[in-house]
Amino acid sequence: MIICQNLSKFYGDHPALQNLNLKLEAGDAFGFIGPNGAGKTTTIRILATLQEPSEGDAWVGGFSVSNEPDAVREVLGYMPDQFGLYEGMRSWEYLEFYAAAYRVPRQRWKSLIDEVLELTDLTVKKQSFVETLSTGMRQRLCLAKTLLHDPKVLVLDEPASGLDPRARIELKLLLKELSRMGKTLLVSSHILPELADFCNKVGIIEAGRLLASGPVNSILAQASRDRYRLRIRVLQRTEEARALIERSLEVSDLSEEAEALVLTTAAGLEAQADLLDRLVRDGFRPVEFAQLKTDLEQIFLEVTQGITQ
Amino acid sequence: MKLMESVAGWAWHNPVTLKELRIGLRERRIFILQLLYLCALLFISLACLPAMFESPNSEQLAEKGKEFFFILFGLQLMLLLVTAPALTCGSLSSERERHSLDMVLASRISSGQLVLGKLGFAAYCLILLLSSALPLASICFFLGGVTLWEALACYFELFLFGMLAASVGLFSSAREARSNYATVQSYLLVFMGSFMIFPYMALRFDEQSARTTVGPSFWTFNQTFELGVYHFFVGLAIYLIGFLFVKARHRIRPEARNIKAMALLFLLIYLFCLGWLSLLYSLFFTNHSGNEADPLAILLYSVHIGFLGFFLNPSNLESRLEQSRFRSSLFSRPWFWLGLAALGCLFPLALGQACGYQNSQTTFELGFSLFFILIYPLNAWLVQKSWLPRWQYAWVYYLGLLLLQFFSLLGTFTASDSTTGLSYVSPFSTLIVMASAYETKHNEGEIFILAVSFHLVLLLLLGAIYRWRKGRRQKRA
Repeated sequence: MIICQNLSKFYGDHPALQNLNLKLEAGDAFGFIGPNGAGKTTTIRILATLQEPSEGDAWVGGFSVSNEPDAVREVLGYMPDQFGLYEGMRSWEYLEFYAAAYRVPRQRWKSLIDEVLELTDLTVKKQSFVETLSTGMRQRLCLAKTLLHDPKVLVLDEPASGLDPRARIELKLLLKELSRMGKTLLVSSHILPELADFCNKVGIIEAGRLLASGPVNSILAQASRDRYRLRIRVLQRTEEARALIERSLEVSDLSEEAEALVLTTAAGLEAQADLLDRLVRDGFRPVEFAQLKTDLEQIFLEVTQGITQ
Repeated sequence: MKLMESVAGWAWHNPVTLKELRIGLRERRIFILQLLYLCALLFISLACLPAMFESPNSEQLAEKGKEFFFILFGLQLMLLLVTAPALTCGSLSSERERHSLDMVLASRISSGQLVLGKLGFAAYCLILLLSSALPLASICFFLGGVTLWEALACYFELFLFGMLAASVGLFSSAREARSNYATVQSYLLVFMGSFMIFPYMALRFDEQSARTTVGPSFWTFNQTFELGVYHFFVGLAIYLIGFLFVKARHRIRPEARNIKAMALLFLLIYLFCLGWLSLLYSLFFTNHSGNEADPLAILLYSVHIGFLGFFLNPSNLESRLEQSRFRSSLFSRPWFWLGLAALGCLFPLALGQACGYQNSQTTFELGFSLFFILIYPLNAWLVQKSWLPRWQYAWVYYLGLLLLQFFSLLGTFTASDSTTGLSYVSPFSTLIVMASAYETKHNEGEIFILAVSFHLVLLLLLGAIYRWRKGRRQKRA
């Protein structure tokens, strides 16, 4: 549904995006992760036909963004990271404007507007002026307008930014529902645990380059292959226990979090069992010895180096 | 027919116009604008009317009625030039500022529809302003002196110039990211452009020329010359509205940089200028004979050489889509433009011949015109191709024209020591110098060969440099 082939964008000599290759199937929910200035918004703007790529090309729903931008706009719903609504318009008027903008037949406007308002839980705000809506409601209204023409692909740039926890949860549920409806989603976000909840694929981008991309499970498995994150908590002599751990295992990263030691090691299960045995025998009184599941945040920190452009 | 349908669709079912009307008419801005507009008109009318009705003679009353109508007309024109940019100068830049433009551009609204929608809103507001002032203007109909056609023509002009000012505002708004910059720029442009209005106003207020006879005298002028000038102003205003519309579209979307539309517009203005000049040519030189220099032929020649710079400039085609569209069009072929220019040279000369204008220089003029029209753009192209990016062609072209004027300082190629003092190698001045040479009996043949040789040598030299630089570039690649 979305294919990017050697997609590059230069602002003068400055590369904002370099040789991005990506392939998303219909129904995929793709989480696009990267620090500020990594090239996420540039990619999304290219997909939304707001910018032209300097090199390479991208196809959305089989249409080239460079050569068939109008066809791309027909199949794509775009929600930017920052957006403004037209003050002085009612919610239904706002949606009506976009229904006309997406060339939805006039006779379908009313039913469609009711449908998307219901989906986004804004039916009660149909007659309200947009300036009277809360931030969360505005976000949902913007999403409602994105859904008006029933796009196959949704490209959402930081949809949860600036929302309170409740609004964020509501939005997440809405995106899950859209994913369940078979829409292809490309969502960029800083809030990684939320992406992991409903995305089946992720891509990590930094300094304009895609560092890792693929199904969430395979990326997690790849990241945790031959490496374990352990959380060890002892009741006594924590510093001595720390020294013992460093002596016993090959530790690549050891830190203290809430009275517990968190470490990353390549040592196998045998060595881990030996360590636990030793801690018990030496009287450190361990109360917690657990393998931590590698999450997106951890992978993100491991893959990226904090380079900003 | 399809084009008409789509234009009608854009105009009447444009969602942008509807949205602007919904928002605009809920704001106080439009009503305040209308109030101020009417107050200004009323104030001036109250100041003028008592003095006008001092003499109750019916013939004088008709004169006074006409006078009053033209005062109102002038005042409305001034007010529209002030108010119309205010309707549009923030329309696109403010959308950019509040981050709503991207969502509109990601929808299926075309950039033309967007710009036309904004212009449509301005048109509705202008109609509102003009119609609200109608009761005041209708006073003069009780007095007589102004025909219906004359009034309609005046209102058409008011609307046209109002739309032109609104287009300037819209263009600035599309060009600038911030509304305050767009406002300053649009008022600055309207202020500079308003100087062009003065000759038009003088024409309109001229008692003799503005007098209308009976019949469908929509044009309201009896004199042919005034009619020609009127055509020029109205045509120019329509052209500028189209030009600004296209330019505003270009600024919004990368692929909307429609070089074909630009080329069509240039073609239109070229044909318009050609037609207009030919009209004057035929009017003034019908019974002309003799050996004097022909200023209109020079003017026509200048039009050709001036517009060719635009024609041959493919602009900055950043969009790959637009590049491919342009490459596949007729307008991308230099021979099309050169052929058109050559035809343009022939046309006025043929017209002159048909009108009985006898000039033994005709063949010679034609030869020179064609030679420069073919060789000068080619030289400019080689200079640009050797050193500069593609889009800088226009600069090279016009800078080259300017620089060639200084050749006379070298003393070479100067046809005579007459007052003109212009270089023979400059395409602009060729005909002027040639005419002087004819008068002072210089040897035209020698000068012709010298000028042609100079340009051919230049062509060869530039061609060699171009090949050399191209080879170096390829080696480096």
